[in-house]
Amino acid sequence: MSAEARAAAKRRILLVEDNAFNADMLTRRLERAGFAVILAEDGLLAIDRARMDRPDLILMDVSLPNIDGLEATRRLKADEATVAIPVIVLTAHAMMSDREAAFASGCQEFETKPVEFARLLEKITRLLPTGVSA
Amino acid sequence: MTRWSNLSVRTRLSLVTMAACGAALALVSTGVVVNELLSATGQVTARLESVADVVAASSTAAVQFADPAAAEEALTALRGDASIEAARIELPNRTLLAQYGKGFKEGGRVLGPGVRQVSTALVVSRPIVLNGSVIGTLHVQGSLRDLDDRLRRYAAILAAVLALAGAVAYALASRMQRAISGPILRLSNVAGSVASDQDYSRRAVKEHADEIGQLVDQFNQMLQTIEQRDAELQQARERLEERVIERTRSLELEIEQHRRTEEQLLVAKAAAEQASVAKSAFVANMSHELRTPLNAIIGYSELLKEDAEAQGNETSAQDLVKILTAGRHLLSLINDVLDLSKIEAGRMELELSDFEFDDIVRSVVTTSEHMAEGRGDALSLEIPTPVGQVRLDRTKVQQVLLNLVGNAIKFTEKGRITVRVTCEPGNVILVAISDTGIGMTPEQIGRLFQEFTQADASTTRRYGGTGLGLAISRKLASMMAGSISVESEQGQGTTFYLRLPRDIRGAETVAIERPRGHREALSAPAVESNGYTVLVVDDDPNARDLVQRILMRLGCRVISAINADDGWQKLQAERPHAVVLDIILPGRSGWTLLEAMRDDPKWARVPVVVTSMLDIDSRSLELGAIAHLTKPLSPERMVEVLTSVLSGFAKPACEVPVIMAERRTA
Repeated sequence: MSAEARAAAKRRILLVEDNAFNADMLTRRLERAGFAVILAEDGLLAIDRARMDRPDLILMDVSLPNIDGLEATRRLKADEATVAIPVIVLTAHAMMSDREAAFASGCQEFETKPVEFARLLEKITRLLPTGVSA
Repeated sequence: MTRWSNLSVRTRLSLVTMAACGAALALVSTGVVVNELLSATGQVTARLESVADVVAASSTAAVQFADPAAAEEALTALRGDASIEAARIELPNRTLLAQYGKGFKEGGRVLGPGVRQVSTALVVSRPIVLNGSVIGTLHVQGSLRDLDDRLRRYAAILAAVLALAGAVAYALASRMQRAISGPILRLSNVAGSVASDQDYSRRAVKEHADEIGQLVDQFNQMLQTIEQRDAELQQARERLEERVIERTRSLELEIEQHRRTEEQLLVAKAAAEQASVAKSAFVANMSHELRTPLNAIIGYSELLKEDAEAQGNETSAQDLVKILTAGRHLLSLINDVLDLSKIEAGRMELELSDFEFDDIVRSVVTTSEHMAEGRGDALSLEIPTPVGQVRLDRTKVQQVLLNLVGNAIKFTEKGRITVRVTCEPGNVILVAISDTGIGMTPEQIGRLFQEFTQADASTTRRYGGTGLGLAISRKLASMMAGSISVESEQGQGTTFYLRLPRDIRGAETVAIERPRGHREALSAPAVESNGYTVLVVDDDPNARDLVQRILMRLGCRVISAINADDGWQKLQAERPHAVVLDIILPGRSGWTLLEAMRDDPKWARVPVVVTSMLDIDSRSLELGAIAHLTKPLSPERMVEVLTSVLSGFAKPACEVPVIMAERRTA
């Protein structure tokens, strides 16, 4: 299989993160785990990228410029084109109420920062659509 | 009589006076008249007798010779007296010899010898005597009409006198009675005006020192007494009014003060609430702000560690593990601070329920066994006498026990940890957690329950932890009217004592049983059955009840199991479509059931939702659970998850990709 084909076969994750350090770190770790990463730095951009690139999964931060991650999730889940894309909210807002709010926005999973990467990977793997092997 | 007694004193006095006067006059008049009458009759009788004597003497000869003419001649002498009406001379044989006048009357009332009265006439009879023998009788009849006239005159005069006397008596009585009735009337007037004006300062005037005078004196004295009493009463009333006014004023002041205090309290309360909200917001923000860089620190450290390991750079890898450990410690610190701030903000509420205490301890020990094994510790449980049912906050009891047992394991390496449950007098349960670990010095014990303080700084380095666990446990215990104390000897080991009342019903006023809103919202009538059966495995009846209500509202049939073994049996018997599973259970933990299900192709595809107070969702998910919900359960989240599980049945498998993918590969 060519490198292009392998790249094409890679699962693509849309990482929505405005903090440069965290964006860089997560991108590198996700890539190391075998995913292709698309980065969006705010809520509106995230929606655009989700529509255009149709990622396999979205990792969504909450505190974001323009619209926050929960609002972005709501919009994605209200759009037929993006409703099927699983969303994991990944946030440093770790209160029980934050968790409730995240699920209320329509996300499939919730993870807090600092991220426990192994657990995050588990959740990603579980949420990714079946049919195409990674 | 009534009329008489109703008459005024004045009239009665006048009438009495006049009556007395009239009676006296009438008696006197009668006496005079009778006397006059008698004397007049006597006079007439005497005159008639003297006339009769003369005529009898002069008629002796005529009678002697029975000469009527001569007798009549003698009788004519009577003409000189107009009062003589008739006369007759009779012979002894009562034959009439001669008569004078007409209308001689026989009979009548005898007044004396030879005298009789016949109506208005007086008849005097005289014997005509000759030489000592009676030869005839002379009767002379005189008229008493004169006497009648006189009597009539007398009567008229008497009547006039009486009338005059009456008038005089009336005049006199009027004047005199004024002397008696006047003072009475004036007294009465005074009494009347006193009664109508309520003016007790008036006095009746004493005119005479008689009975009325005495009456006036007594009346005045009475008035004075009344006036005095009235004045005293008035004074008392004024004093009372003054006191009422005074009291009212002080009450108003008090009310005003209360109002002000209340206002201040409200302001203070608002400020406190604001401060509490601000504090919560601050803590939440702080948590967020700390977590964000920590994410980068831990993430990059892990990246670098992977690199170092790949390059075989042991030293760097070990250093990076230290950074990671420090980072994770920082994270648990943040979590505990959040917990503590929740307790201190009073956000933590008690949820009381009845449960078997021994089961809880047993389940905590079972759950901790894994960790004890990892440290090479032997963990044992002793319950000489079962405690039985208690009424406490089940979740908080679990949390405290988990913390204490976890602590014992953490500070004991290849040692022995014993959990012993006994009962103390006064319905107190004592749980002693003894270890053969490092122990503590008295100084260390002194700092033990202080927040952020571990036995010493080196402990933190060696054993990790935030030092908040014990502070939180102690606060939770005291919320349930319990306590935690400690005995320890350095190098020998430590024993923690958890004391809890069997029932904190006395403290129930501050405890909130369970958010009522949820229960009511969930007690809505069950909807039409959707045909799905769900098995709920939980030993806490309240938790079971909550989940059951939610499921029934969604239209599911619900089967309950109280432990892992029971759950496994029900699974075989009822073949449920989904399972809701608690982890900390009496006997085997929920994870063992989850594991057994994963390993059996028959059950591997049945979705399992884990509900536990343990926040170890990785373990649950690792074992194949579709979701891990942390207790206390949020009914909304529960509904959401269960709805998505149920909708997965109705739709193509790809809608619930998680379990399907996992199970297929498993």
